[in-house]
Amino acid sequence: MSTSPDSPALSRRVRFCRAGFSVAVLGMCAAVGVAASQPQGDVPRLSDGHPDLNGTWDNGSGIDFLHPEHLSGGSVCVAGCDPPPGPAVRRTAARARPAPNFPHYRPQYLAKVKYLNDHQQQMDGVLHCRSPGVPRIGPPDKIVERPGEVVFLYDDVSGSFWRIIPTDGRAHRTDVEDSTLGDGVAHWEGDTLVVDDTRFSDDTWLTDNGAFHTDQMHVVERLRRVGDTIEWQATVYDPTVLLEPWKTTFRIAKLTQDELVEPTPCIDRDIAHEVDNTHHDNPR
Amino acid sequence: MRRSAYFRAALVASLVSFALAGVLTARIGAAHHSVGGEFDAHKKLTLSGVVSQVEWANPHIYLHFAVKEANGALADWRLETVPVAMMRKAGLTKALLMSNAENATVDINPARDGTQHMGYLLKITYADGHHYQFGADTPAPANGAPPPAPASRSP
Repeated sequence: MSTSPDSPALSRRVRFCRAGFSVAVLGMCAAVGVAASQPQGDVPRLSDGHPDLNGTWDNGSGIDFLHPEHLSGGSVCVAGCDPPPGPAVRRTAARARPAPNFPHYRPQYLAKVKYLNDHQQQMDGVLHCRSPGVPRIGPPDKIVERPGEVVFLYDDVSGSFWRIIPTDGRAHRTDVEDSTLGDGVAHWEGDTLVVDDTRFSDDTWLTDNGAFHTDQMHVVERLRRVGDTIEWQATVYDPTVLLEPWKTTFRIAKLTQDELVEPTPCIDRDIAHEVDNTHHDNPR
Repeated sequence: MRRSAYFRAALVASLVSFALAGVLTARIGAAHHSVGGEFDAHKKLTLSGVVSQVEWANPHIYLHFAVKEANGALADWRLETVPVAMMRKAGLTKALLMSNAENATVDINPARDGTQHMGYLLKITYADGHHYQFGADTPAPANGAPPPAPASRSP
């Protein structure tokens, strides 16, 4: 028996299927949401019951794309490796980088983004050893978790940075100046540490390529321990210049026994020798 | 009415953003290496000398390379290379870069602004034959196309 495309029977089936699909999707979303917020059994915990975030976390330093090749005789190819002889094989070093995750700006600010990107060598503070700021700095390299506060330590190509973030319910400080890392206070939502950041200066970028923000920016970072990893993602709210909240690239940091070392000095010696505005690829 | 104007603006901005992201991606992909504005990817020099110092610093490590010039004087070449995080990920240390420092050979891209004795370190090969590579050691052709594939893999 055939059914015409606009028959009531088919229409009912389509509606039923759509409804079923919607329920299934909602169910899956709800399940994911519950899983994300409810305590997980396999996570180490402190005496207060919250997940233990203490430790040194390898967040990839923004160079996950780099896969050095260790060759015979102690040789190492870090980048620009020659292809091996014989048939072409998949390269392992310097794999293709992921597509850029770029904020959506209001139309009147796109020219500014383009100008900043075109003059990236002069305008991007990171290329001058200045702080990348939150959220560009990404997940912390080390976390010290104590009753009432967490301390985030960063070992960044621009230098070493730290943040002390209360978790005791206090409000944002009002006695501090705007800064690149802002003022953070945190609370727990289930097993997720939610860090609320305000009081930013406007001289950092959200990511590479001219992604500026205003000093009215508000950032919410979410950190969740899963086994021996921490999942991190930040959402940026800056409606003056952004059409919609922007989520940073989702990052996973892995617990490591490789302890942080003495901070490496950052000394900018490049910019004076740049002869044009060739883009300085700046993985982060 | 206001909502429809908002959605139109959002659509236009999104399309422009995607276009901008595409341009940015293309530009990133076109870069020969991360410091193309500073060093000439179309020229490769090969020098022989001695590793005299390693400056373990960000955003780039510098290796000093002493080269005997025609008049017998030693020139101190300052060679930029990768950031500390990349060097550490490759398992390379200051000690490894400095060991077996005599009679080494380096392939470099010279500075574009004409600064003497300055370059980007593509590859260093030590007297015993082992090497560390930090960039494609085949010069990019002048027309901007990617460098040709080398005939054979380095030992």
